[in-house]
Amino acid sequence: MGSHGETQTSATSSGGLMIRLEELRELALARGADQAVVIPTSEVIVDPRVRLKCMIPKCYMSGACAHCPPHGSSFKETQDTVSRYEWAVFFRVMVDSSVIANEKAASIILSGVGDDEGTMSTLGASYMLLATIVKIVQKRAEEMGYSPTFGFAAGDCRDLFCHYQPTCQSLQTRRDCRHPSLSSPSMESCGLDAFTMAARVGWDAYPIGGTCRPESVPHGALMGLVLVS
Amino acid sequence: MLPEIQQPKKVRRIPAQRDPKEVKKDLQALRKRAIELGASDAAVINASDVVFRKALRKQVAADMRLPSIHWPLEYPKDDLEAAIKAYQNGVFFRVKGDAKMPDYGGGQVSDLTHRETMQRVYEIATVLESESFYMGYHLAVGFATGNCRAIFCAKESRCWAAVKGRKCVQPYKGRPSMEAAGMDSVAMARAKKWRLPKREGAPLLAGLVMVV
Repeated sequence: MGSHGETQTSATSSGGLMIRLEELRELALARGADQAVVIPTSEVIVDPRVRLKCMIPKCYMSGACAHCPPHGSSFKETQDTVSRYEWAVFFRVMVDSSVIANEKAASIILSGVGDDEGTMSTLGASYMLLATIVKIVQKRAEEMGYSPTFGFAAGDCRDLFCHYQPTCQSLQTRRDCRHPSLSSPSMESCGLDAFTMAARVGWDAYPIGGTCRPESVPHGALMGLVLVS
Repeated sequence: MLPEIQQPKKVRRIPAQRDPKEVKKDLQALRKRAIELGASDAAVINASDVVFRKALRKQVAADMRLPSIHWPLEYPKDDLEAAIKAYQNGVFFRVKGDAKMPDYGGGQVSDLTHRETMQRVYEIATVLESESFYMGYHLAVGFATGNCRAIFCAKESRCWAAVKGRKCVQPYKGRPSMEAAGMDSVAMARAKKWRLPKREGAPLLAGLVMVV
């Protein structure tokens, strides 16, 4: 547990609310997060620059998934959503640098053909793990009576759940998402600055782009967030 | 030939709070880097120095000779100007071109020398953007000049990045231009007292990287 989480939970641990939030934090850890904290939503950073960064340089999924810019929640819509909640469970899934900064990563993701070393399966599994923790924490929070909750994962859900589909159904046909019980928008696609939030709770996070190689960074990190009230 | 974007030697951890002294030092290093890469002028600017002119985006939208993901720049759900203004500082630079170079707008750049001069603006923008990113400025974005499709993908039948689910074929080079984002580089250069092309209609080959 990070020191920030200890401060947050011990500060208001007198109430049953904090005990339940602590249970959600522990649940995220038990399900595979390597770090998790409970934070007030005043510490959730919504920044208009984040969605712009999805488009410059253009992420290959930008425009191709209903959650990704220029679609999805605008900066103002996300600000509005966050303002309706009081607390958030923020967590991290660590990814080995040999996987997330793999030289072949970009070409493998785009071609959809895996590599013999299995690095891309591991990367996909990490994103899948994070997306699953988001849903598990949301489900448990709702069972506790925190309803509605709002969850954010990382990356794009289309690669995870609809990779072999020709299009994102909710984007192309205005019909519902094929996997509403699995997919969540990513923090970044909604304008949440997950990296600065991670740094502020004491987790190390490194910018990893297409030219980054494993020896340049100690590890990669995927962050998720569940808003509860 | 300018260097392509390289593998970063060092990647800085993203800080919880930025040290203003370090930011100042980094911005100056990036300004110097722009000059080293071939910019004739470069300056560290504040977001308040960025001049927006609505007519520019309209002008770009009206020039549909080679439409691309960055020409015109569509950002329908958010306020592009507000997003750029949310940065604090950036590096503004220009590259001097041939005195006879016409303003190609968003169309084909027929002259090879002119195309190479415009490419230099893109290369400086992308190298500075990448270096800023690995210095821990994870939200750094670069803007160049003209239409990237005309510069890098003139032989392509279309801009592939504009096709849903397809990637940009020049991801380390293609960027939106300042004018496509509604930024008035001429007014900004004038404010910096840079010597502008005297000939009427001559383009200013400027780029901008918003760093922090």
